[in-house]
Amino acid sequence: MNPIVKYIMQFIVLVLLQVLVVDRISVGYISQFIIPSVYILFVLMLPHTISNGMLMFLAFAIGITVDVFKSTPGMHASAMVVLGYSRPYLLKLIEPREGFDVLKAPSIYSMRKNIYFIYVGIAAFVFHLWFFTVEVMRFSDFHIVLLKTLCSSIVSALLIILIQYLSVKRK
Amino acid sequence: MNNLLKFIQKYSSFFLFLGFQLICFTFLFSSVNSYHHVSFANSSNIITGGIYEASSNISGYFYLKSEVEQLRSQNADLKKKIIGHEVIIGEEFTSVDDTMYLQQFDFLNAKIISSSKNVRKNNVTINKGTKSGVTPEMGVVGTKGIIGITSSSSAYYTYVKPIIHEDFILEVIHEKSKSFGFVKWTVSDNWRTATVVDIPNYIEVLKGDKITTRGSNGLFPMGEMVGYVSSVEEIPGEVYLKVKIDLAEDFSSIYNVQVVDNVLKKEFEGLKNSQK
Repeated sequence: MNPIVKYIMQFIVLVLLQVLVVDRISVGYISQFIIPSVYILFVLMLPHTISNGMLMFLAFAIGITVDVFKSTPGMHASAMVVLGYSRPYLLKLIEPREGFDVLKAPSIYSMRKNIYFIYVGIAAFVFHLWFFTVEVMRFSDFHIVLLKTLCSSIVSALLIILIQYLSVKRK
Repeated sequence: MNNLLKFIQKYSSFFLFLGFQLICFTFLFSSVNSYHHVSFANSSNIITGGIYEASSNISGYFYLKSEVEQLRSQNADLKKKIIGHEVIIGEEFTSVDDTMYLQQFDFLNAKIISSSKNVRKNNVTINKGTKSGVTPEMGVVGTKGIIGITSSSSAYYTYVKPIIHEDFILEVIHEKSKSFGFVKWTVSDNWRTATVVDIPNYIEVLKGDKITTRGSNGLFPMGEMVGYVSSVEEIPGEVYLKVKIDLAEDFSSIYNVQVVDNVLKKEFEGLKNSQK
């Protein structure tokens, strides 16, 4: 399949998965602390060779789309741009000695499993920390923000890994 | 000049990052300042509204049972209010003249097609819009209590700002003492609770007391249920109480709502403007 068509389909499927399925998962009182965002997988799956500007633009595009669905003014877009900006640094940080296979997009099959878990975990943490801080917009309730960030990023990372196992074909 | 260009080129991705953040924060702050959220496209637009409605048409079947249960209990409550079901005591000769009474509030049935409850700026979208006469600044009540206030509408969808939105504020009364206060949704609240401020501390507020709307801005009729007092806190050095309430409406299961149209609203607002 043409890679551009593939990425457009991933974009649509992840946005719909986020707003129609993941946002409706409710587990009683603790769901006020668990607000997972799985559409960040879109930015994590983009190829190694993409330029920084394009990466941030695509992150902004998917963020603003989710914002329109959830009626949040620019908050998801802002957190996604942070994620897009920090992704090259994150990949450099966790790069193994022999380097990544830059021809394959980052996924659970093209990277070592424990490295991929760290990659998804840190990315989800950065995204949620920025998102909840912007949402509350002050530092006085930081313990609530931190609790929400921890719970949401753990659940998001688990869901993303689950989606990877269900969708990516083994090669 | 050359050095400056080199500097910008070296940190180009950082400047791009700042540019994108500037766009995002422009959206964010323009929505904080305007009451209606209109500056940003929201879920009442035709594409997202259509997708949400198509999805709720399917998932709606799974909630039919609890929906019917809610409507049944509301029906029972309404039946109790019919005059014919009450025994009239102390009856005298009275005449009822219809020209004396004008129905002030009209109710329009609507269905919720999407709602959120876990973020700071929660939202509710309903499937009626300007084509059905729904405009911004109308009250919305659910089967158990008030839901919120409409804030922007398109032709077929309307975006409602619920009680569980951090910018929501409404004048309410403590039913027993008739003392006024404001209901707000603070950081320490979740979707089952809210906070009432500005009730003076010499008023005796007990757990379980009813908090209802005052009807002061013409959005809701007087006495619509808001919630029940769950705890009362005296703030040292202040003359007002901080009253925590449990909301009457459960925002994790809302399906059917009614939009309140105040027939006399125009007159009321004209009066308010003529004061200025």
